Amino acid sequence: MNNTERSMMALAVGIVGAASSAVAALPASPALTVTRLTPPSLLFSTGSTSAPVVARFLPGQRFDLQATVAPTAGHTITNISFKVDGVPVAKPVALIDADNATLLNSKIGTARAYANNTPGTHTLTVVAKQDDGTSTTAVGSFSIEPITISGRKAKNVILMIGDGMGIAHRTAARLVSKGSNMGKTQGQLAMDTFPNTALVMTASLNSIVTDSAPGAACYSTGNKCFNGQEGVFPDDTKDEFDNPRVENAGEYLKRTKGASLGLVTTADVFDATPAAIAVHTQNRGSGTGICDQYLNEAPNTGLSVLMGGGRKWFLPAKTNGVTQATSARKIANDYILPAELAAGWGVANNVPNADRDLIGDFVGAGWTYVADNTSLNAVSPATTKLLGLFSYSNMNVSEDKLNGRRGINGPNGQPVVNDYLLPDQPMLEDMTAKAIDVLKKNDNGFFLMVEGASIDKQAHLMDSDRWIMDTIEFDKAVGVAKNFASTNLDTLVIVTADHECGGINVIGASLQTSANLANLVNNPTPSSNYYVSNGVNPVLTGYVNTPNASLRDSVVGTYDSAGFPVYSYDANGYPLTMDPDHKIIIGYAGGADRFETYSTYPTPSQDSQQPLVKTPPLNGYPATPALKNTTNGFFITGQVPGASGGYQAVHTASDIPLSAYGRGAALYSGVIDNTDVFFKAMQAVLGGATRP
Amino acid sequence: MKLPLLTAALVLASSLAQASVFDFGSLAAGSEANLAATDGVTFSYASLVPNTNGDGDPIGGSTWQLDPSSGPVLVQDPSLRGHGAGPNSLDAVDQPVAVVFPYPVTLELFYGYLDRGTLGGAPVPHELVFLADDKHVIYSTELDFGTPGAFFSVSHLYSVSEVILPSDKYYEMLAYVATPEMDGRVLAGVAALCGGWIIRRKSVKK
Repeated sequence: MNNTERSMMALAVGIVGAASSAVAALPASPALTVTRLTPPSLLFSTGSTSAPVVARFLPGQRFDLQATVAPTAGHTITNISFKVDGVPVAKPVALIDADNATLLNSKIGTARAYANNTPGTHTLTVVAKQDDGTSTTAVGSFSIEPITISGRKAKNVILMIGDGMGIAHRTAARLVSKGSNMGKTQGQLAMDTFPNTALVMTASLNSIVTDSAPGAACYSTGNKCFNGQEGVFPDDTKDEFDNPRVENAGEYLKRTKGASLGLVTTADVFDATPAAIAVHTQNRGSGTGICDQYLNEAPNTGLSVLMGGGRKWFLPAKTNGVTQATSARKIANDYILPAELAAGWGVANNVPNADRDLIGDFVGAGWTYVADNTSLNAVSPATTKLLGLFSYSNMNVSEDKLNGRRGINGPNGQPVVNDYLLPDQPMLEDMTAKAIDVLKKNDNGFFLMVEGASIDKQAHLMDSDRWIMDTIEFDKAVGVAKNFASTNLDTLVIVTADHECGGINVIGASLQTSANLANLVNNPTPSSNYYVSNGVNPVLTGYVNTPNASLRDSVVGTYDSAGFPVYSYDANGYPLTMDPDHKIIIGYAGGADRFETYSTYPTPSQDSQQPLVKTPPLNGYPATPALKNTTNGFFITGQVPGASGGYQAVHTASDIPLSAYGRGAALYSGVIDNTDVFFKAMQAVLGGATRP
Repeated sequence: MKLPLLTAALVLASSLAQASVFDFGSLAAGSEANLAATDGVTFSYASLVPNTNGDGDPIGGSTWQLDPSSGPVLVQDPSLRGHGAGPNSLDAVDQPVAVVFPYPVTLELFYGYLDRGTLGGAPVPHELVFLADDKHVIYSTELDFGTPGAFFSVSHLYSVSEVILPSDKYYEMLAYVATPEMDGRVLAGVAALCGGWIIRRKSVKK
């Protein structure tokens, strides 16, 4: 998780608190009041009977019913029960105290793992009683989406998430990796070749701008959650793992079809996107618990492939009493489930343990573990469960992985990837191919999520060259998935994002050759008004000009001046350099203050998730994007707050593109809600669909 | 044979019920299910395809069609996909299967057993559909996919040409008792022949 996303998570927690505070104003009144009813609905929150239904489920998909009830002052809640369409729900209702500070006397009633088989809109009524015999009711709604039987079913779903990948990210990757001349693209991205396209609206349950947790969870559950939450609805407890759950695609397909689940990412595997596909928590930052839950609940999710970075969550905090610097495991972000939750969902519980050898436990459960690309390539063809942890946290970006393979050194006299201590990392396409090899052994099919994570992370950091290269890497993984689907016809491949990041667009191309650009950058033309630094973050005083006043106007070519940039490629199709003559130029509508040189920075900015980020050589990397190019860049004023957001670009509310290929692809067209992506995929899996 | 006798024989034959049991368990896994078929009955994968006009534009509704692109219907070991231990069975897990009669029949009884596993029990529609020769639905009924090894049966349906077995399950056994119905064109032909024969007889007598 980068700084911006951590800030957003903190903001989300604040929003949760704010929402709770808002409803908490009600319990102070004398009335017995239902302050929250889950699943969330506009019927409950606004009283509107004509408002759209918020919570939607598959026939038989499990979810929790929950209500928070505030008693009249001086009384206590004695009973909470639920009815659906007027019929009592035959599930035990567990009563606990709300531990939100503003709801001290409130009770929370929860019925676990409810399911409804009947398509259509249903009313959910909660009846709450307090100790003087008085009662109150509240009504909400949810719907069951119909599945239409239509023919042959998609057995496999490969969901490819280019995190933060908007339309312009794809355009930039195409321009760089394929080229354009005389107005014609010189080739298509693999994702460009998919026959069906849609635009996806990305709002989360509590904001028009989603973060990656609900942005991915909606693809796995068909439902929206608050920013920072994964596979759950919000509640009124501080416990990060007790929230009302929604059964995800892995669990549903494992339970009903015997399918497998795979997660592949270039991020730390605890990161929001992979975790949102398989885990249930209200805090995307609870890395220890998230990674424990991967294994603990694998019998329920069907998880059989887990690859990416994030070894720090799998290493014991202490070995033989000695603290391990590369471990991030903590009791504080581990979990134990309420017994009624574990029983209701039929899942194994957890014992919080910072010193757990999670890799050992995976191996003990029959998983094959690989630690680097060499061992990934040597995996036995008979492998049916594969764990790959190739870095301590987020994997290195493709620019730096490729430079490592090409022997190109960074500022520390070795390839940048070596600075992170684990240089032998696979490319995303290699992980994708291996994941498919393992998962396809299950004749009942699989649900595989593949994430190009650093498209987003580097877009946050406004490091154009690195996110463009990672988009190209992601597209090569898309090509692997497409090749599989072209010979395994019962496969649906969906390529999309969770949100756009950066407000990015391709605004033109450099007027300069690479050599001339380097000369302009190395010989700045400062003006008299410029920023001053406090040594950590820049402090901007009054009108700010720039340390390299003429750079922008000398470099940025627009319209006719942009022409057609030309890149050259290695044998695998990756650009040999991101700094050719007349390279493309990127603008950030959602960017923060920064100093732009239009050149590849020798290192990425610091990744705060790396356990060794505070030690050399990683502590020598720029702590924020605003600390790059401070003496030779052109200062660009950001559109978003600086210090509070870590001087990073932000997610935007822009619709995102979706491309689909294979069985069920024709279901994707028009402008759709992000939750629709789930229901259309499940239509293909459960009801069947044609191939376009 | 004199034509009246032939006609009588045809009519008699058409009134005789056929009873057939498809013994998938006797076939090796991977065999084509049609090897178990008798009386000209065949198995084929089927899809429910949206209706279109001559220009290919959708006009509403949909029709069951055979889908040879999915290859032949196979007999498999259900346990290999976690569908319970049992004999080799007709594989309809990934796509509905059409049981196609060579001519319309009066279906006195159609019955079978599902596989003995719990998978495939998602509560989505699992309708056993009976189609007429023109593909219109004569009757449909929801099967119990939530009970391992469930038995199902339907009786007394007229002019059935195809039965659509819902997907998500293996079918351990299928059987039917049916009476072939004379195709209308055949009856017209027989009537014409009879008429011609009578006219010819009368003209000969003259």
